[in-house]
Amino acid sequence: MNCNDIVNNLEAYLSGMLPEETRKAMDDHFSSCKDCHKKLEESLRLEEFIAQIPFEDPDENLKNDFVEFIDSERKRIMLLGSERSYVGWKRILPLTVAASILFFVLGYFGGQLLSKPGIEEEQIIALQKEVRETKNMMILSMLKQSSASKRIMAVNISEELDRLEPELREALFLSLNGDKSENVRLAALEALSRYAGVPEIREELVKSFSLQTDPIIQISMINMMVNLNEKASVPVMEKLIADETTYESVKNKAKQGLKLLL
Amino acid sequence: MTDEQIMLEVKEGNLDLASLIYDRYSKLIYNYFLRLSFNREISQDLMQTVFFRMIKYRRSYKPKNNFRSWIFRIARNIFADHLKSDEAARSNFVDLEQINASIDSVMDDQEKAEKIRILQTALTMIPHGHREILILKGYQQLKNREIAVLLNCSENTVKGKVHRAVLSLRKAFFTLEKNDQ
Repeated sequence: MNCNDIVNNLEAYLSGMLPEETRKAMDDHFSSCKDCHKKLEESLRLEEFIAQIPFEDPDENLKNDFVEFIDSERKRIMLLGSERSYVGWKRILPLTVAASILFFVLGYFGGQLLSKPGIEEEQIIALQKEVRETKNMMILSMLKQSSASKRIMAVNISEELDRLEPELREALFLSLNGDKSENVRLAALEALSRYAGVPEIREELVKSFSLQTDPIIQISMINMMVNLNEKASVPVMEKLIADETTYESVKNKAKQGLKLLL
Repeated sequence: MTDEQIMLEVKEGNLDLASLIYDRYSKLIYNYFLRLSFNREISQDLMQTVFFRMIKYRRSYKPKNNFRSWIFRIARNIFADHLKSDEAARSNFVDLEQINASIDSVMDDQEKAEKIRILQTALTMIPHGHREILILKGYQQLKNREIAVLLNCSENTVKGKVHRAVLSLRKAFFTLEKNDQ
């Protein structure tokens, strides 16, 4: 029996299928041939060899998807009001407080300015215009900041304006429809809803409603549309109810909304 | 913290800790799928699905559950669903050549690298059930006890399954080795 015979018969040998005679011949060969003996040993431990298959690394970007998924799940919990996890709101609260204080101060000095006698009305108007323009510029530049908290602050400041310049309006809608932070989108919605009396803004809001996929925004928008008694939002709500990917809580809200609107 | 402690925290709503589990298990789960399907893209998709499902079904996790058995059970169910899809028949094993080719870059020993290439090819030639138990036992190094929980059978049944799977792997391995020479 030579080494080639061994290779051909090894599997049968290991599964105990060989006649006694052949098996004995192989045993003899194993005791004299080092190579074949090594092969036998390895074959006996084939399953252990599986452990040596190297591990590959998955794509690192997948982790970001998972982190995003956790975020959205956390928001869903918040929406349903169950479990603990109010971290999101805790983080925004100090900012809203800061913004309020800022505008209290601005309002105070503004008021002082107005009540001062002797300043020409023209000057006041010019000054108001300048303040408004400065505010607009500040808001626009803050909206472009990478930090979500800065962008929320910007949106909140815009609520203090007495009217919405077209440029700012556009920026707020951009935030509402596309900002990657949900909190910014929510703040933008609140800011814009103050101007819902303006027909173009209202029309734009209905359009934006149909684009939203985030349950919290969807629910806020349903509430807003009902409050505004906006019939144009009916098809959007019907679509939400028909869509199987819509969250149950959103569907229920939309059904309630439809009842009130129709 | 043990996996079990972390998972209980996640269950209670402390979702941020889930990323620790991701760090510990993503590579294992990905390679579990990769040696079952030899398809990188599908393995990444399925791996993500495991972690999404882990979050979705976190409340079904019980303190007495061994975490490794629990998460591999999710993985196993997901792969069973995948096998039923048309995609599986079309796309399993498509990356075998590439995966085999990549072994040279991580292994110095050429003889050993060649053996692993044959072994991996042999894995694609045996029935799914055999491949699966060999991957769990030999590759993922799960204990018989853990596999028994996972497959919902006794430890002795696991031993028998491993034995039969080894026989069929050996057969495929030798056939390939002979053809190779």
